[in-house]
Amino acid sequence: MIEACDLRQSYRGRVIIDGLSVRLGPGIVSLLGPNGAGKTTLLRTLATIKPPTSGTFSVDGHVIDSPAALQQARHRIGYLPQAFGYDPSLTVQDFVHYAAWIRGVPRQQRSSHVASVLDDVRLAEHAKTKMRKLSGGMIRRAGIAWALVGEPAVVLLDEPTVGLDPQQRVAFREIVSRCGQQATVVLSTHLVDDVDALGGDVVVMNEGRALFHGTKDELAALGDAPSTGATPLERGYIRVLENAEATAI
Amino acid sequence: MRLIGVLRHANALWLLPFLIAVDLSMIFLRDDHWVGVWPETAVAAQMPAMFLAMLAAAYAAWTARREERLGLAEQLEASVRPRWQRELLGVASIAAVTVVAYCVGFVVALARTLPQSPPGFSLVPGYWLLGLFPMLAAVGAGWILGKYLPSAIAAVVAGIGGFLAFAYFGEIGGERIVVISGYPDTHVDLFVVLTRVAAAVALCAVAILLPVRKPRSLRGAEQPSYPWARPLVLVPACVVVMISVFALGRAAGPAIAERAAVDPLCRGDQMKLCLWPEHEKYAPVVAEISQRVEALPDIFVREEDVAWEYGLRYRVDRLDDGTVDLGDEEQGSSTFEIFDGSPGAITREIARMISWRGYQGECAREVDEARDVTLRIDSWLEHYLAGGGSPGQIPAGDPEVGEQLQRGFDVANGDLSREEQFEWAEEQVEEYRSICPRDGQS
Repeated sequence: MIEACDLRQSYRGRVIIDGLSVRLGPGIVSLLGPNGAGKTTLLRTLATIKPPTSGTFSVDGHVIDSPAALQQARHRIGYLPQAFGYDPSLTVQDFVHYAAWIRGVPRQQRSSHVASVLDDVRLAEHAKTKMRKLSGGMIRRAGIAWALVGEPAVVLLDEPTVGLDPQQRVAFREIVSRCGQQATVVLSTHLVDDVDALGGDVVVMNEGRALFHGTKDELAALGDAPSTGATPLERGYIRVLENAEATAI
Repeated sequence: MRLIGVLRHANALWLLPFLIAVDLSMIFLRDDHWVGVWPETAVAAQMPAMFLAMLAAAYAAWTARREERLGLAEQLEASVRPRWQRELLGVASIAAVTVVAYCVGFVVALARTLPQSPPGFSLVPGYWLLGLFPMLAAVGAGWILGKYLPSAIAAVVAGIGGFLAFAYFGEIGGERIVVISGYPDTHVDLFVVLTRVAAAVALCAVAILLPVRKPRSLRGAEQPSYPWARPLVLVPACVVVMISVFALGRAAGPAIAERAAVDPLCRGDQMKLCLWPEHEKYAPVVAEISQRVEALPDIFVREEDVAWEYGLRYRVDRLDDGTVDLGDEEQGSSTFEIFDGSPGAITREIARMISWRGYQGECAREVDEARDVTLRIDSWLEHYLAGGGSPGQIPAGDPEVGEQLQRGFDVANGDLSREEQFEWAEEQVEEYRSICPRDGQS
């Protein structure tokens, strides 16, 4: 579980995250918001890549306030950026092995962790396939394996369904749902479909602030009133954004 | 990580066959005089280190920011492993592949000499270590360039820079970094060469520890970090470490040191020719030369004489081209050298020695006619002692000198019988004495 307290993040004087206080997890948490809402910056901050300009956050109750705490937190966090990289000449197995090494998985446990996580993402039979030979969906699954290896308590996925066809998205959601039973999975998306399919909590973000935090049913309930959108969840999402705009005016 | 995975990750595995091919080509595309002599074999196997180093420098420069090029920077920023450990993986992989290629060449070269099992194997490890230094230093230097320059530019600069460094500045304290001859009278000072290897390892460590600027998208407020890991502390510390280690490397002195004389290997009776034991393979050639010397007219040979391979008895400065400058007072000393395994070089040295000890004196330098006679005699002696029978031309040089040398050469390699050659030689000596009556009479 991650808890952020008055978290602020800025870049070149522009505020990206504006005093965010939120508790994420356990289970699946979807960060929903338009482009530029601050979802990626929030995930980077929680992944300990970009230290907050002010405020604090904790992972499983451990506040990150020292080099030692930072190291400890990184053991607990698995992170997959939206545009994640890979070495095309590596096999899937070596790619995940490297991730296990990077994540500090003890040497004796690495092979079993790699085998287990490849099984989880349905890539066990492609373990010896070179990364360059994988399809787009398979590469995403290999990326998920990168984030999952070592059994992190928190998994952060930035726009993981971008570029996947409908069939791949279904398979992907199934994997994430299973992960959510063992770890806190925080994923960002701008697709309401993903939120609907995955369930769990939803945080609607815009301009660096959390406008809504609740279950998908609670968000859908806001869409009962007349508004644009094809589904109650979409209408609820649009309603939250419109309310925020109205308040700002 | 599994070793193979490490190498694959560093993309260094494909480099191995290429480096081995370069190494073996360097060893076997030159002449094979080194086969059968341990120090020469070790030097032949050590020489490719220079080329491997250039390639390793270029490849390290190209690889230093490879993860960034592959788009891995953001994932790795969240890594439990500190950056230096990930860089260590890259540097160690390239160094390991380069050293493995070098070792393969070494083992193959040693296997060529092994059947002859000459003495002197103890000289081999020093030369092996000598080759490690440029390779490890090149990996470190290439990695540093790659960290701060665009990869393609860094690779070109490291490769070409490495070549220029070795070609024009490849010396430490006036001594070549990579040696080209394994004379049996010298050995590698292990302390000095280990100091150099330590300096190269230190350079690699500095290459790994030096901080890099993060990609723009990942820059932000400083991470809470250990004080020693901050650039303001790290960079000066790295510079101090480098200067200290290299100063120590220079202060340690030359890596190639003279060996103490050992029990020589001598051939011949009246004219004994003594070799370093490591040059055992030349013993049959030397025995034949000795027999030919003994058969020379009395005017050339003392009743009993001994000639020593360089370093067994006399030590004088070796010139840049590897030949020996005996100096004025040493002219006529009973010293010869086997230079790059050439029997011609042996007989050239012995011919000069015989002339000086038999009939020649200072007059040969002062009077042109006397010089011409000695050139003819020395040329004849050289080729007669080598066994003759190799008609050809003396390489062009000073036309006057070449003409005299050619005349001696023609006598040794022409149709004259041995007795007729001796007769000619005695006439030449008489002519010399008529020009320089006081020389060679003492």
